[in-house]
Amino acid sequence: MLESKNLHILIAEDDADDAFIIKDSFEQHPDFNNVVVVSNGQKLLDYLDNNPLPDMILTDINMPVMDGIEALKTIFSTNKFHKIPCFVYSTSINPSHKDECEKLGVKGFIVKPYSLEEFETIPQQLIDTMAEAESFS
Amino acid sequence: MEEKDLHISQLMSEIEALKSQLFDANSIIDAIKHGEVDALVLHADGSPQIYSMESADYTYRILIEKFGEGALSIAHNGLILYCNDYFGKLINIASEKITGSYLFNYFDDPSEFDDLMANLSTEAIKREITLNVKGKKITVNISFTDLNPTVEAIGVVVTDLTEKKQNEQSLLKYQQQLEEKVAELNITNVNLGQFIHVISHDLKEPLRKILMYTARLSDNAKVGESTPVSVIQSSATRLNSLVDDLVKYAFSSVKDDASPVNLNDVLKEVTDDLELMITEYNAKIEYADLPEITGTKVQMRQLFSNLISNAIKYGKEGVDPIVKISYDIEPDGDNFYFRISVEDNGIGMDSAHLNKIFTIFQRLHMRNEYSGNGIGLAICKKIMENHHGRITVSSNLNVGSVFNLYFPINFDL
Repeated sequence: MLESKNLHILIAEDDADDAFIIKDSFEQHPDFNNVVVVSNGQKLLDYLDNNPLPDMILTDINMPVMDGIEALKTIFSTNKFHKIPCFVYSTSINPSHKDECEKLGVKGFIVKPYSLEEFETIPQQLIDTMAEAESFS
Repeated sequence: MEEKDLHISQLMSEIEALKSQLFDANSIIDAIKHGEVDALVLHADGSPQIYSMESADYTYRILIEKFGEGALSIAHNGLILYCNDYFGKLINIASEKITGSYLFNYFDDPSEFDDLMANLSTEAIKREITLNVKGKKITVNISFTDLNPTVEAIGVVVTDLTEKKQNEQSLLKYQQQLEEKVAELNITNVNLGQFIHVISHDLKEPLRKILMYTARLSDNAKVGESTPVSVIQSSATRLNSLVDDLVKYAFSSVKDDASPVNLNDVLKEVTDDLELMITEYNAKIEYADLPEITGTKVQMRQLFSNLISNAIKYGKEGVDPIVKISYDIEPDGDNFYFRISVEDNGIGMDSAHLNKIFTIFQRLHMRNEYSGNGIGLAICKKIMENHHGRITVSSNLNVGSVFNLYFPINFDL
């Protein structure tokens, strides 16, 4: 189990509507107290370089400037960052994207929900996946 | 007495005949000794036919005259002593006018003559050179043979390469055209890949939002079936699943690098993915000890996911779906295939429809009766083709269907 309840999550999402909903979902969840949303992969990396490291990362794939997969490649190959648990969520159902993310080592791949209610379950999904991973190790 | 005379005259004539034969023989030997006779051929009736140097030389001359390549003899300084008709025609000058001229004058680069002469030997030496006669260039293969010590001359054979050159050039042209086509195709493929990407993301993005916010509308309005909102919703849902399946179909023709894929692992993942559906329909998926095939894992997941979800979806009412996956090895000539069977206890199909089911957009049922859009089995077929295999089906109406997947085992493709 994760002991800290004051979780810090960094989210990369370029779509303003989705950004609003996903930010809200995490802020409503009692375990998260620091929710940061940036709008592309480059800004994700810039944030990591200049701020205290987050407890987890959630990124969209298709984003302008730098997409999620490019950003993840950099994160997983950088010593300072590669231990941060990363999750991907995307509208893309491109099976090769999912495959690539799994190969890179992301903790979970979530298809973007089709209802607001499902958006609200994402924070708990992340926490459950983390807890599962903890109990295995 | 008379008899005696007769005998003597008979003997005398025999002696005369023998003398004449001896003379013939001696003169042939003399002729051979003096080199006047080239060959002696005995015919079937025993009479000899003599071929003299003169007659043999004539044969060779005609042969060279009518030779299908240019033939010349030249002196060491390049002076043409003899040339045949063919060479005359090749450079379009009468052969009697060629004799007495210098061979290198017909060379595009006369220094090539010196090079040939420098390498002269009793073995033929060959070069590809260009002739230049009054500005007309002809590519030829030329060979020089030193006829020394038999004759104080050089034998030259000239082969016209014009046709060969033309063939080479048109071959090069075709190759170039082919390469251009391949390049075009590659560009088309890249464009197609981007197009699929756009559909898989950019088209789905607004659809997802339509679905998300109409759900909110219907929550607020507490509407029933066939109201405007629910019609929008079900249409958008259908459009969304159509986009999903079209994208999957497009991806099923992508050839990723093949690697060993354990089908037990694939089945484990697929049954995990379909957990919700399996629970909902109370379905049983039975499989044990499946082989390892060479292929793409993503496509194997897609393949079995489609077949198993179909088997569950087209189940008989009131009967729990059971899907059995098993395998055996099927010989086909010198080759062997893994035959993976996916067997269900569903509604089955009329054999009249079986040939249609692997064609895209062919549905056997009314849209409302069973969900599906007629792409799933077309995807399966494409995936099997990608894996150098095939898919077949046998079915009994109201009993169930068996889909057979054939994967080649270890033979060169």
